[in-house]
Amino acid sequence: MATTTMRTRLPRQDESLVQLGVRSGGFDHLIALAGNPNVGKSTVFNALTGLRQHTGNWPGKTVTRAEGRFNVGATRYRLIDLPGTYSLQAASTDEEVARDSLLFGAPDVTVLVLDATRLERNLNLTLQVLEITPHVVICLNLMDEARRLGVAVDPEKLAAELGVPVVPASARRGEGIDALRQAVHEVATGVIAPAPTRVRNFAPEVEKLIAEVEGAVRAAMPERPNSRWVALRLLNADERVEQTMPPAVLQAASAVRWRLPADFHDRIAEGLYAAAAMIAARAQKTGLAKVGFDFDRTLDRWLTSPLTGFPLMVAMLGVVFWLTIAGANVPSAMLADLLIDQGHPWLQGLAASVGLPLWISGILLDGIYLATAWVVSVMLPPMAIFFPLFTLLEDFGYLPRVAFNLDGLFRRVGAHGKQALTMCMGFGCNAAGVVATRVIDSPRERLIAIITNNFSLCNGRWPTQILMASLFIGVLAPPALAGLVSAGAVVGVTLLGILIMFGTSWVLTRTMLRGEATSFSLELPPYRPPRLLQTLYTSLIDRTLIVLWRAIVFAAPAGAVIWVIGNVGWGGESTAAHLVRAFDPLGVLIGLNGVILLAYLVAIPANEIIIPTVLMLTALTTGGPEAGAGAGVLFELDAGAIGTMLRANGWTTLTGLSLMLFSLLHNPCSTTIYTIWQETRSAKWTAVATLLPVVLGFVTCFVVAQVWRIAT
Amino acid sequence: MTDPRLALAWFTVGAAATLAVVWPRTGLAARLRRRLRLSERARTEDTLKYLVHRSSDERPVHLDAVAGALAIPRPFAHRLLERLVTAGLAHPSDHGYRLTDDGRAAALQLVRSHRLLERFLADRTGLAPDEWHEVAEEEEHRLSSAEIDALAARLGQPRFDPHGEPIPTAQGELPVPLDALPEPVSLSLPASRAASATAIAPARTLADLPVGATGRVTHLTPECRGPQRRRLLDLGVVPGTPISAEMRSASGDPIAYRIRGALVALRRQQARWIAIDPATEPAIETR
Repeated sequence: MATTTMRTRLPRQDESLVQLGVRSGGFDHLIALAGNPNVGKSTVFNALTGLRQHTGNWPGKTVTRAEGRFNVGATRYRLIDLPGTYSLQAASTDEEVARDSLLFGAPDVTVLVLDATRLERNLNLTLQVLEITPHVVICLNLMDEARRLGVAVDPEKLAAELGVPVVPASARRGEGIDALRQAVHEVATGVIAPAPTRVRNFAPEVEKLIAEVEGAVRAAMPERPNSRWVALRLLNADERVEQTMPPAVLQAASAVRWRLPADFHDRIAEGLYAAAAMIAARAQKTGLAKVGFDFDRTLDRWLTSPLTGFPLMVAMLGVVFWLTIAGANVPSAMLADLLIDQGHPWLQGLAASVGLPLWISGILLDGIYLATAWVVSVMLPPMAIFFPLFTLLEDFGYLPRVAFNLDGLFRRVGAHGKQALTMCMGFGCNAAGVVATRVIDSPRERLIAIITNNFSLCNGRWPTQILMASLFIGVLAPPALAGLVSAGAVVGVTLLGILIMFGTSWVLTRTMLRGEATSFSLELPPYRPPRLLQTLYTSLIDRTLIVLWRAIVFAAPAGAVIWVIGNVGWGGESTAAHLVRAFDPLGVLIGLNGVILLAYLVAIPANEIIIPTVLMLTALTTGGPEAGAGAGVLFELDAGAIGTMLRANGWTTLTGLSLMLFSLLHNPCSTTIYTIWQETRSAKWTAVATLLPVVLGFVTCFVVAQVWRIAT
Repeated sequence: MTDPRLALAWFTVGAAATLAVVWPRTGLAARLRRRLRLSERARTEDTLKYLVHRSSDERPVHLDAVAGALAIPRPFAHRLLERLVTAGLAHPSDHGYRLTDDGRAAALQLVRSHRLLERFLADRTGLAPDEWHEVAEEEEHRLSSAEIDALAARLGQPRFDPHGEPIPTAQGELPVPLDALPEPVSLSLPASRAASATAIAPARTLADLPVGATGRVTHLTPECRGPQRRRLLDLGVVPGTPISAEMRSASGDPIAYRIRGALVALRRQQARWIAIDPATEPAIETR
């Protein structure tokens, strides 16, 4: 049997890969990690390799392929993580990637991670993988959870049923990982030769067709041991197998394929599930005593009931936002004090003492350093608080319930319930929100979520909103109510953003995105105790630092540009002054002014530096007494001084209101644009996501300005 | 400063004009694009297709028939036919035109392109069934033969289009002679199951299942197709699977169902695709 299964491998793909140099990277065996979404595949990956990779309580987390290495003795293994999929039918991009990697990437061993609590469903994928390759090791994960739920799976029985090694594991606790490495090693080195089970009880019509092709294969190649498998692959038009077949077999298979029933795939799925159910019934015992009470069901009753579901959701998200805003104030102020108030003068002093030419220290310190410092001090603290909190809720399994509860709302505009989460993420940072859309596995709904994420008022825009609201809106109310009114104005703009998000989603599904494929699915995973330290670590690395790094990369050159346009010019005026004058008519037409438009143009990397840029440009063009540290140098004043300065330069209530609207409705920052490009790899959708909000912003501001002028 | 009333008026005019241009499907831009797509290549290929469909009759096809079918003036039709002749795809005979063997092969590739595209549109996009033909009719003229083969490989070398019509293989292989096949007409999806669906009528679906109850899947309805059907099958929604409705979301729709041990939220529209046999057995613990 052992030699039989060894020969079922497709002929010598390994050699071609060696020639291509794929295996020249200092390892002995290539291992692929596959499994359903949400079975703890990434946790197994981390446990095997020691590499930290973010694992959320979500399907479809692994979009970009992660790679790691581990050794067993002197043998070196390279591990690639395939996307989590429910099957290998290649109906989605993830499935295509997973199938092609197993079929053409020819891993030496495939580790299949199974969820012990959902054995039947996981066996569906297992049986499909076993059709392709016999070199499989099963990692029966979540054994601890199964015990909690009163499910017992007998690994040995399962191994006997499947014909491949089965290693029980609880990857979260590190249990079973050593045994898994050992099993992989034994299969890779040929100590164990698996003899996988293959499904033999498809519907009679299908079996008849398989038998016909199998007959042709046997007649042409009597020495070939796996004729049934070859026949099934030929019915699936598997190119790799076709290439190894003589023309007579191909002709026979081609003739039979004309008679495949239209619901061939239905029949195959049925056959697979029938086999899966039988194997599961033999290998598992259900209905054992549960440990403790049914925690999940009780919690779900509270969290998804119409009476308590929404209030609990609003309360929970409210706490997260409150903690973020309240908690970020102090560290933000400290960072600003350290980096800007003390660090900047100190660096300037240093530059002067070493005799650095003024223009170099201008570009480096006043431009690049200051812009970067500004972005870091405003951006880092809220993100470092918001993302871990959000990730905790995600790891616990609450966020899928939010998507579940809100899907009714999102369905009506053609979007996916999970967009509620990417939208929330957008309130922290739009770039992170765009990355988070990976959890939406339907192409159309994911594009909608990406394009509309910018309508979530991100953390970098809150300072602008709060300042404008208190300077220009709050003052319209009696002093006692001023605070309340300005807070109301900011909340109003935020809600307007959500409203526009829904409206845009609705329009997009009916116009540009009509033809995109759509398929809804939302799995509600069991609640799992979140791991605090791991969450803190991964959310800081994966989300906060990556986003911050991208922002810095974009902010630094912008700082240089801002300094240069403030200091280089012609005709006795700086470039900035020329540009402000050029933009002014357009700006005034839509209720803004040239300074604001230029600020949004040069401060495209980060919304955080809009206000400092506006102040700098205002001082520059008027040469007012507040001209501060010098041309092209960003600065901040207290709110009262800003108000006086802006009003002196012609700002009115309309300007403030228009700026609030434009801050909501303008192009995403360059970090987000770059992220959209990274995620979609499509110039078209990147352009749409960039231009749509800015066009909306111009139109809205224009109409508001005209109506305002007619009314007053 | 510009008079706000005047500015608004200009804006309204401008916005109306822009919308008239970009409005989906009926806007000027869409019309122009359609017009441009009917390029010379498209017209020539349409002529070829017309010839192959009519050449089952022994009589050759007359110039007037081509002009009439394609709704183009006679001289234009003449030019198109002459082009086919020059390319060796048709030859004039008995006051009309007949296809050569090469012409027949070329027409077969066009049919292949069209039906593969329909398969693609049905399986991989969200377009409605009544749009497949129209879109494929435009796109078939833009694909090179390498692109067609790549598309076929990506779709797993399908043999039938979503209407149940056979797709010629790259070698031009068909189960029956092409001209004996009818023009594609209606949507008939998965034929065998559709028949059984009407037999059981009026079937109860998962959408009728009250929360707390369990039913057994009898079949998926034909309206459930493409990625949506695949996904449901992969989740274990196959005939015989017991499904229990476990909980309603706070907004009422979707509902979470216990399917093969997993808790999966399905929208009402999806639940309607799943015909069930309301089992008499009480809600069972399926975990």
